[in-house]
Amino acid sequence: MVGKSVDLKTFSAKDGLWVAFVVILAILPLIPAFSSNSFRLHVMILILLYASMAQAWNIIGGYCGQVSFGHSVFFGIGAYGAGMAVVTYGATPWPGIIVGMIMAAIVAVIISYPCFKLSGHYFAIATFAIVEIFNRGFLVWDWVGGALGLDYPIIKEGLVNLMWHQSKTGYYYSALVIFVIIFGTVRWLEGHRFGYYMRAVREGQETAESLGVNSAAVKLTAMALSAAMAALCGAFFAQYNLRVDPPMVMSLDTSMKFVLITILGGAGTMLGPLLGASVLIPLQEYTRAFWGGLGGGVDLIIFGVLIILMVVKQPDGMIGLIRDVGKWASNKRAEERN
Amino acid sequence: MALLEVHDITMKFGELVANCQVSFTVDSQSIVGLIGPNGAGKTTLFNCISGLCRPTKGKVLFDGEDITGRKPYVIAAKGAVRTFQVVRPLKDMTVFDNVLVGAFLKRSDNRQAFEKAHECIRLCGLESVQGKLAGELSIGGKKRLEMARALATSPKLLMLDEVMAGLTSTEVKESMDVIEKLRSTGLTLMIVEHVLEGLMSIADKIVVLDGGLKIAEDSPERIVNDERVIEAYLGAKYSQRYKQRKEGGSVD
Repeated sequence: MVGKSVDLKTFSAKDGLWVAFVVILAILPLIPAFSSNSFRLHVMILILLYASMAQAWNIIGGYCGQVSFGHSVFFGIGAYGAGMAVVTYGATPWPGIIVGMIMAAIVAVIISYPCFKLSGHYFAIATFAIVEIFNRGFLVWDWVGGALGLDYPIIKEGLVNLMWHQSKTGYYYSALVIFVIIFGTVRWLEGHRFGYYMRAVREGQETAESLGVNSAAVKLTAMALSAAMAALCGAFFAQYNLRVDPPMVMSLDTSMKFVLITILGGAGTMLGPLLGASVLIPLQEYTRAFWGGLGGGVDLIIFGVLIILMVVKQPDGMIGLIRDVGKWASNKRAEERN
Repeated sequence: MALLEVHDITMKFGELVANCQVSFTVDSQSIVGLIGPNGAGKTTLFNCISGLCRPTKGKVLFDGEDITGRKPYVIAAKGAVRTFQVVRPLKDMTVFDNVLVGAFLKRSDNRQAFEKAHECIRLCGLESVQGKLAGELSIGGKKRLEMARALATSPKLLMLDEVMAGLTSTEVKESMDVIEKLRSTGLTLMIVEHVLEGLMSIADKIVVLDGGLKIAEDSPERIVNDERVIEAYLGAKYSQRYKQRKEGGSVD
């Protein structure tokens, strides 16, 4: 990347890499179609979902540099959008998904506007508080189902209801579509004006403004976009679990996943969220399966250790590690040649 | 016609008066130097013009329009762009991407913006380092990056805040050449500088600040002989001796 950004950013080898990765992911579920291992498919669905969630967060947190711990709120609004469309109104989830995304974007702008007056850690702390407010609010709000949450009825499976009972393949491809939408959007942003403006705001707000960048507008737009994407993931999450309640979606736990997966993989990079999710999710699911109820915390312990190591040793995340290894290898090759 | 008019700018930080009723004009397509000893209020004045500070009193007119107290990005979009004395590279972005951010101000199309960025990088002699992260540049490189980035916004008025301070004499020479080239393209420049030797040879007009007050505004030739300017820079004692010598009297 460094050293040859001189060319116009067109289709590069790096893009090829991730397109190849997506293709492989799409082919993999065809294998279980023969062996019918639904657990493996479940893990892959979660990888795609969490990678998408992390990528949504990456827009505002990684590229724009505003660390938000409030993303579970937007995730929850999306989940409730789909859930209420199906459970409360007996409709298909689709209008609920759209409304949820729009609502999440609106809520994001409303709560971010005052919070963006704060910077750095203070912004992050403020977003913490917002999760708690929404969590408590939804617990006592009857219209959205209160503490009992929303339980999906068993209705006809298929794309219309975005629901499948027989196999997980439908869910898998839906997750893949979401993944492609969100990663595609971020890829597009990376090469265009708005993407550069986001990074400029992250690197120095005053500098960016001196170059004509309206930093407040950039941050709000990035936040709205990020929130809408998170809501999309939330809607899928509700459809997949066939249930929504406040602790499930609007919790600090969920918020932390958004943040930590991205940081583990490499914040502000295209592939970071995918790398982070590819490590954390199998870890989480396989330890759970292996230890059963006893293993409930093991994945979090390992993950915690990974994060600590990463932040201390390579703050750029796994992407940074890969880059280091690449550099080391090319240096070594150069040495051998001499 | 004056591109920039500064009327009676007063800027107070609490009880400290950084600028006191400073007025001057910058003609279109001219180079105006702003000089003065440390703490004279040069950078504060720049901040007031570029919107980083809101002046306590006074008015700034740019292109006939009142821009006093407008947001920095509004003023930049109108065409008055500044660099920072204490360099502020966008550290984790490459040199090229830094300049590109500037280029995007007037061009939303990628190809045009890339071309403009290339042009400014070439002009400021940054080709060899354009792929490097901006944070890794030498101080001279960072100063040139400040200039390239501001230039890429296609400004009408470019305000340079000590782009030559701390550079070697070769680097100063290079910067001067760039500024000369810029003038020939019809750009108006306002330059804050400590390196007077360079500035005197290219400026059309010099404004001198001391202790927040404007003490002189004149052509460079007259400025170097101005008593008050000499006093501000070299002290009252030297100024008197200089005067006596000029009048043909003996120096004791």
